[in-house]
Amino acid sequence: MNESAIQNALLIAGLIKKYREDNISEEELYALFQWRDSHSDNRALFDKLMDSRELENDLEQMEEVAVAFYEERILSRIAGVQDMAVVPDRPVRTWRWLAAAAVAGLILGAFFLLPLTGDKEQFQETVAPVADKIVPGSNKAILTLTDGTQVVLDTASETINEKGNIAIYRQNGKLVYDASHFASSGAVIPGNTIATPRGGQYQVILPDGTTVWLNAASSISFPAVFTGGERRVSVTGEVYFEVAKQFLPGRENTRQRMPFIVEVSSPDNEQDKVEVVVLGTHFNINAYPDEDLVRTTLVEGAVSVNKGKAQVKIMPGEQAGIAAGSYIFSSSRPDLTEVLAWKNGVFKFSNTDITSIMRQISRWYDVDIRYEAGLSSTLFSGGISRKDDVDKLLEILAGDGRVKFSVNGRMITVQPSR
Amino acid sequence: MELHVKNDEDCFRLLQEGDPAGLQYLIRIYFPVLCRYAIRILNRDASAEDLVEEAIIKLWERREAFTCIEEVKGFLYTSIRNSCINNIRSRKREQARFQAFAQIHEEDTGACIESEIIYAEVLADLRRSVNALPARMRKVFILSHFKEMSNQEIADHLHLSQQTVRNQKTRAFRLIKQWFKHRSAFLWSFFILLFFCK
Repeated sequence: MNESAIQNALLIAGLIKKYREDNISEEELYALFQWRDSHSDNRALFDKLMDSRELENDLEQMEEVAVAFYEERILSRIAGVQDMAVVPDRPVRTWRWLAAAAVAGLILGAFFLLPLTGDKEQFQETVAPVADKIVPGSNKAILTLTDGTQVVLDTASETINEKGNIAIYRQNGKLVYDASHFASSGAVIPGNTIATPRGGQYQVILPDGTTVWLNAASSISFPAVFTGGERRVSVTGEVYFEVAKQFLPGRENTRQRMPFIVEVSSPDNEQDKVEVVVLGTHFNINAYPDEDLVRTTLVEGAVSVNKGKAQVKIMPGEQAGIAAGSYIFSSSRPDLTEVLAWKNGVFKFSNTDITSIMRQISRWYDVDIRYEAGLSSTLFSGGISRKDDVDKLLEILAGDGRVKFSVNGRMITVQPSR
Repeated sequence: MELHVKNDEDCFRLLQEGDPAGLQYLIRIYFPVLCRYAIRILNRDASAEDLVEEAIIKLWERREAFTCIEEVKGFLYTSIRNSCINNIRSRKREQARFQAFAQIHEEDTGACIESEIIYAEVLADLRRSVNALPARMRKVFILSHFKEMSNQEIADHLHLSQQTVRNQKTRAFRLIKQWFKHRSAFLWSFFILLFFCK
């Protein structure tokens, strides 16, 4: 495989392009047909390209690729923005050992000093008892079947059977629904819920092929098989969807799509839910009860977000937000790599308020946060892998001296720096 | 976000000048095409986005070494192919843990590279045509042709009248008619029929 073979291929592609545009000279046409007739494979490729059918199919498939997401990510990488924090080259283990030794010294010292002064250290880490160690989140969730049985989902992989001959396959971190042998045994369609705890995340493939990613402290409830004129699910927390295209039964020739509707129950009252109506796409919903807005971000495709009579339609790259008790949507164009960072296994912040960052940390590491008085509302930028320990992230945030952290068991206190 | 770069030559010039708009053009037009190319080489239904992303980053880092757009494309196709082969190799190594170093044959890659490059280039050219449509026309075209939405659905979604949607579709159709130039007469009339039925 060499350089000239590639350049030859590019040349032929150029000739084909000119041929399609009716913009080809006699010599070029001759050269093209020479290539075509020199081998049966070339002839087959030529015919395939002229037919255009496969090209069209591929062109359509490519619309499903989240180009906008990768575009932003690549452009921000080359802009030299240090999104992934540069960790100092001393290994973490050494740091821990040093810290432990330092703390031991401090504890000894403090024992004598305490009655005399009430001094606070710059960065203090109490050596937490082993049982209460803070670790990053992992693939964990609980599946509740229609009869109320709860199944813990971790790394095991036996198939679960649901009523009506629906099989649920378990793979590490992923649940796949197979309703192809669904036998309706009465009027009731089995309903399932998958919920992640703090420190958990999970992926589910719904019976129609829609793929769902659940962040920590989130859930999705849905029927184990989709029947009727629409597909309706309900979520809490943060969930990313890649909705599978599905047509209304019996209406395949009019190509009318079966809508996919995501309900987010509103914290104020039951009737007041936010609904996202989807027509085959990729989008992220962030609806944690402790966040100020329910945010729907569209990556590819088309969705309309509804609440009561209010409605907004967003285009790829846009985000619609709505507050509890409000019927007015705000729309913005956020950094998609930030919005989808969780799904890609990283944290990413740019000019984000410390409380928003700490809320994400509390959900993923399953810790509680306390804020001391005197904190100014400064903004932070940075990022780290979700697999890293919380100390690394706190170290980055404390890096330029604007805040300090103190970790005590499962409680992290955010302090203003002096 | 509109793309101002419209062709390969402009793209190359911008890359030489260190202008990210050149890279943006390559990503918009080529990213999905290269993902498909990589999957064909890997010969499995895996996602190749990360692999393609790394190749594009590498390209940017050595943008000043290229003398023409063909060399840029050649680099992408070669670099991605090599990454795919490394990927296949390490998976084979995992599978054949007790055997000697696994040999990679052309058959393993599941594709004839020259054919794949030719196909990818034609695909990229079509993608460029669609992308070159004015913004609103492109949205209408994509929603009707690929998302298969009805005129009413498109009108609602883009806040246009149905008549405007029909006009935009006609004009897009005309601009991209070169796609249909070499179809057989049967397919041509079939599509005309479909078009008027919508």
